[in-house]
Amino acid sequence: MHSRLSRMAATLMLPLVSGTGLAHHSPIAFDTTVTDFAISGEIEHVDMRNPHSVMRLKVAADDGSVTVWDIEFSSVNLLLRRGWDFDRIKVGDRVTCIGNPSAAGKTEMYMWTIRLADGTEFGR
Amino acid sequence: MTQRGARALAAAAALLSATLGAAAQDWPIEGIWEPDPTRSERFPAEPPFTPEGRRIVDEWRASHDPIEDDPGKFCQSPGMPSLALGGASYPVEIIAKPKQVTILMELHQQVRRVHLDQAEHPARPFPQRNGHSIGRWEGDTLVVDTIAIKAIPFGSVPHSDRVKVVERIRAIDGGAALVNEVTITDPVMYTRPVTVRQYYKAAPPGTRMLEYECTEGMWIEHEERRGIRADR
Repeated sequence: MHSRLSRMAATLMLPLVSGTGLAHHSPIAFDTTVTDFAISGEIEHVDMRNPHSVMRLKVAADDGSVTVWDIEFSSVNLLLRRGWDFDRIKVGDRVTCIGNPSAAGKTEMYMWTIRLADGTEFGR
Repeated sequence: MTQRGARALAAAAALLSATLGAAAQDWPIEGIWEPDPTRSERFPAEPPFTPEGRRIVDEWRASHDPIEDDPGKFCQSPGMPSLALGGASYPVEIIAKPKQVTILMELHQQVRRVHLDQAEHPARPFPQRNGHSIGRWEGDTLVVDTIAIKAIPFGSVPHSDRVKVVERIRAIDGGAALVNEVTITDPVMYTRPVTVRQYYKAAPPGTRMLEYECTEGMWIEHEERRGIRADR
């Protein structure tokens, strides 16, 4: 019984956990008319992969509260060809993500350019 | 001439064509090519649907949410002919041999085999996403005929399993570029053949094809759903 309750609790908690799995969205999930949407924060998770790479970014508000954003960006293959240096994009780093905001007003975005703390940018 | 005799003659002609092709050229279509969207044409946004084709596509779109039910989210390759029409930035590698041209597509790690030593398709080829391809050389142009493509209602070219694709592939601009003239005929979906030209640029020296494992996200989601993944 205990194990069953634990499983139920875990299931109920899942929607509260920011997922890192199926983060491939159709372009219509983002407002592609806005290309300079930018947020800054600390990388909590990053995974360069196909079909799209994913990142979770901890973004602090003025009142001290922290919101975790889901950042989707290009495939690992295309990032490599564009010269992105993955050794310089790590958990704990402070970065600015620039690109398209969510079309539905969610805490999600599609990143085209990343700006590192020292001002280095990797883009298209 | 008997049917068997005609088949034997056609097979001999195909083999001769392959052999002459091998002797006559150094396979200028070989190499790694990158899609060139600045020159390529797109499959029409409003293609000449038959009433049945329109019904199939409308029905699929009405029952699938464009964000939640996006096939790309589940690493679904649209197969041929959508793959031949590019639409993404991934390179293609062509390897030519006397009996077979192999087309390796980085996107979705797709492999197409064009059989040059077969004059005809098998009598009852099993439909697959990239179909069954036979080819022949017409001078420096590789002509590829593909049938037995599984019906797919999504991708840039929704099609039935009666679709037939003819490609004419040749190097141009002194080997700096490649063009593939793709003609799609599908009596179930389209009222007339549609021809689209795709252009590629020779990849810069040193370019290498990468693997394209696409299902990692699905596995991670499974682990998260099951609560067996330590967050990284």
